[in-house]
Amino acid sequence: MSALLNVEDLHVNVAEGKILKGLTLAINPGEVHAIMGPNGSGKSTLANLLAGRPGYQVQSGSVTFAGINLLELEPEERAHAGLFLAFQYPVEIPGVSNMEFLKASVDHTAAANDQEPLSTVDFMRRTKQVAADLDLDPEFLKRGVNEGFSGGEKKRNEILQMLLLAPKLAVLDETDSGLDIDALQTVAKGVNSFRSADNGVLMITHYQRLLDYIVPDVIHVLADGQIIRSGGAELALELEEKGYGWLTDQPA
Amino acid sequence: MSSQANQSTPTQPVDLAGSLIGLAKGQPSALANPLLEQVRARALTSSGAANALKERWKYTPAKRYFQAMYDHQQGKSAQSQPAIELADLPTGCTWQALDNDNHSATLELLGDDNLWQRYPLADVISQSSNAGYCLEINESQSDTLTLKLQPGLGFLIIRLGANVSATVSIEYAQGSDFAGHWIASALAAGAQLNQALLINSAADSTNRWLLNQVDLEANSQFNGHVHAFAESSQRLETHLRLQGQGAQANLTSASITAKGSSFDHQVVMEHQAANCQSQQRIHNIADGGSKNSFNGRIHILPGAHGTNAQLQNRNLAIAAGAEINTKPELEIYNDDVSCSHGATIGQLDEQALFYLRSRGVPPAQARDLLLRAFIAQCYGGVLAEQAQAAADRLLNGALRR
Repeated sequence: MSALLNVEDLHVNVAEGKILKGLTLAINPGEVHAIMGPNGSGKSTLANLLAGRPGYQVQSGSVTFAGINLLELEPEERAHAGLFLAFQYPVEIPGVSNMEFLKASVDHTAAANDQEPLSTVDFMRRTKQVAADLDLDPEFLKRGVNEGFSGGEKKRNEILQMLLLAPKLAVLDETDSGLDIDALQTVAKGVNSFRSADNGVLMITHYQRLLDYIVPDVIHVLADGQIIRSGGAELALELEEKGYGWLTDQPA
Repeated sequence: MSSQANQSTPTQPVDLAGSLIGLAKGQPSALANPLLEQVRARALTSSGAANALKERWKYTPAKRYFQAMYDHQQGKSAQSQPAIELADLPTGCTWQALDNDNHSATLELLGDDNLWQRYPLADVISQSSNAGYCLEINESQSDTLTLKLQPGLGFLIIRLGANVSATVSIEYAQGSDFAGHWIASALAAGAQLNQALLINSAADSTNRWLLNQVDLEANSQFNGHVHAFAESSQRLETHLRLQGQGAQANLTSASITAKGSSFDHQVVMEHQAANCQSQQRIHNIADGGSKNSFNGRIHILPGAHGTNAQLQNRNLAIAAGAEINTKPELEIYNDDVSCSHGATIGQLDEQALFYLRSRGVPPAQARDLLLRAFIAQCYGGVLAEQAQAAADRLLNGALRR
């Protein structure tokens, strides 16, 4: 089985300096991976780099996604290829209605994959259904993208987009931050319904809490730009108990 | 703030009073223009007005405007079209032609002796044209009154009776090289005027100057929506005077200037009476090689206690060489007010662009979506659909990348 995402010995710089220092990671279809790590370890850099945000310079290494060189693709081409990033801080776009935005997103992605776009009626029906599953009031679909949404509503809106776009790989960048326990369960329910044998999930989180609801197959600990430990779900419990210092104070 | 955007340093300030004095000192062609002579006289005799005039005309080439106006005046007798188009006069309205050579009668209608002192230059508008009208609305109107201003129109007075509500849409008809119009609306107590204005100028069309003056009596309400999509030179002066207690004025304005064009919007919101409210939301887009200027002054007089006044102005410079000038101003003469103003100049939000692209929307479409969203926040009133069509004409044409 070939990996869905294959990151090999990745070194990445930003304006402030070197962030990723030889990161290697492989995610197979059907797997959920979690990356944990202290602040500044490079978690969000990895998420943003995968999505193609400007400002990240790859010094060396490679990223292969579904058999193609991801680093050569523009951000929209990555989306069309089936990569999705749930943002840590989703942007507010007043004046563009959520529905208009979602339709544009789904239509462009379908067109890029030579698929027929959903009819407006089918699209609306599907979107309203998914919104209801995520406890999002249908009124949110008429409002500006993320405009005036609470933290929890923004995160649920990200999951809504993920479910509509049905990507091959969903990268969730601290999707649990700012969520109360009810919202966390709703988001987890959405992610769990998304899981299948064909797709993968990469969750980035600070806390073990999210992993109670979305049980990962593999947990990685990222520190100072490298994965210093990988293990099963039990690794999260150990981290919760002992803190990151347990791993970062001694070489892996 | 973008490097292209220019908040306080215009390319070439126009020294209006200076240039007019210069004209009077001996340039033969200018001396042959009695209109410029008259403007010069007005500029010099209006007490303390010269500086204010210079400020207000900083971004519009005054000399060219007045020369064009004079040329237009010379040719005005040749015009044959009616100065204004109004379909059937609805019930409850009366329509009266004004004698433009008899200013005192017009002043009497407006009941304002200080008019020329407040608008020393706009006086010449009415004289440069051959027609003026007064529309009296004495019963509330359920249908929109649609007015098309022809270049020949000078003066239009719109008077709403007490507790009368009406919706008026105003558009420019095409033609001629220059046109100046003066619309004075007077709202009696409890009246409501919804006014939508569309300035939709093609590249070869008329340069326009509109003075839009609104006086509000007690508990009356003005809802104004300006939509300006310019491919030529356009100037709009919006002067709102809240004269009676509890009056309310809401103004939204959306504008786009395409390459080679300019739009200069000067707003004065004058709170004269107590417990009045005003809201302004102004969004402007300037493309490369165009100039979009806004000056918004909120003036709160000593008697205007309990005033609530807000002004928000946002500007986008979308290409190198775009010029944006903005100056929100507050002038407050009592302590019991709630007042805020703000202005921003920037480029399209890179974060928003990336967000859209990360969802599969290609860059050109993402840019288009953001521009439409920015400007659509200020569409309003009965011309919102026409405004969108006019904006689309620019966004799909001159501004397409």
